[in-house]
Amino acid sequence: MARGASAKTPAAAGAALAAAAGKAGEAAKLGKKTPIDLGDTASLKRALDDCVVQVVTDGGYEEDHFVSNVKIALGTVTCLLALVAQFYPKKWLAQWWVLLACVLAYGACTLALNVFITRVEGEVFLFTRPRKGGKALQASSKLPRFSPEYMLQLETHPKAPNSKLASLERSIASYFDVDGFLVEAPFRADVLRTLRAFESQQKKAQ
Amino acid sequence: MNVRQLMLQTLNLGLIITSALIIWKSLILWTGSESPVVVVLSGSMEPAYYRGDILFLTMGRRPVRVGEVVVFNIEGRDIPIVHRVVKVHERRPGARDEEVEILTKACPTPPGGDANYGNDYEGQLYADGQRWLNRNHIMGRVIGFLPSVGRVTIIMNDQPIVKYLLIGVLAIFVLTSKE
Repeated sequence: MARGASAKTPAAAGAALAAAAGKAGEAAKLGKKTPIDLGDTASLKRALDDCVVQVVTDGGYEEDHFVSNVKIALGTVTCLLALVAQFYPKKWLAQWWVLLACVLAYGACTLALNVFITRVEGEVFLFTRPRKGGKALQASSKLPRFSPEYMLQLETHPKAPNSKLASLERSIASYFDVDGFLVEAPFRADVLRTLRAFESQQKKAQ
Repeated sequence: MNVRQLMLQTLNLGLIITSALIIWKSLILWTGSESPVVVVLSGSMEPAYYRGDILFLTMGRRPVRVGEVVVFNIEGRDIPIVHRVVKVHERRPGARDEEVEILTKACPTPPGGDANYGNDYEGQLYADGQRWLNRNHIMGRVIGFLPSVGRVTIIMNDQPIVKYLLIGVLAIFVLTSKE
């Protein structure tokens, strides 16, 4: 499925940029997944998150790109402001006001972007649209820097007051083998179970 | 890597680069000078300023005074020059920028020092037919300096390959960072 192929390549890209560049080249040719350095928590989290995205979308939820679109739009506007400030085609004194406006607008946009990211996105890596007869969900995860405990949380989006969340908390040792390959089957099973728990909680709440 | 993630990563890189650009622009706004930080390229102001020193400039509306070190542009020359002001004529109060006449000289100490060099008009530094500088030729007056730090810039100008190497290394670092 196209979704599967694109979800595998981000994990492969994250690992390939590490020292295992040579292995990645070989493994990619064979069509296998690439190993991830077990000390690199960022790549491990990314690999697990990508798998979660696969499981949730396979479960009938469509990804909601609103947050991502807002980030791209705000980011583009901010960069354009800087380009205007740099390349405005008038001599120095005439462009003083333009420059001031650009600098202030740049500051405002950067602030807006950061506020948006911290308040709306936070730890969430997946937003979905509501499924037929169900609710929209957001998936967030944590994998602290030097800890092996991966924590996944599925909540409704937008957050309802007093809503319970479905969570999964396990050591990554249960999902990664000693060479750094993600063993998908047990992880997918756990995520699917968490998803079902989330859905039944929502049904009870209704 | 899908298109969306690629766009987000590119924008991240763009934001880093543009934030540096905006910091420079705000410095320009704050000091009122179109180039608030310059590198001394000639040795004409030694032993006060050496080649490779960095100078901090402001412009503002305060009048140019004798004894100040200024950086100015001459038509027909690409690089600005750093010399000291030795004469200022304001022929009437409230003279416009083009009416203030300024004469400069390459002297390291305030006037009263050596009489060895002539001033810049006698030294034929100004453009043909130009006797004086005006305020609009002046990029800024020096309010501070850092010795020798600018030598890196001179090296990068003389050997452009150093510049490309540096940017290449920085780009590799940013692109391969995990964040």
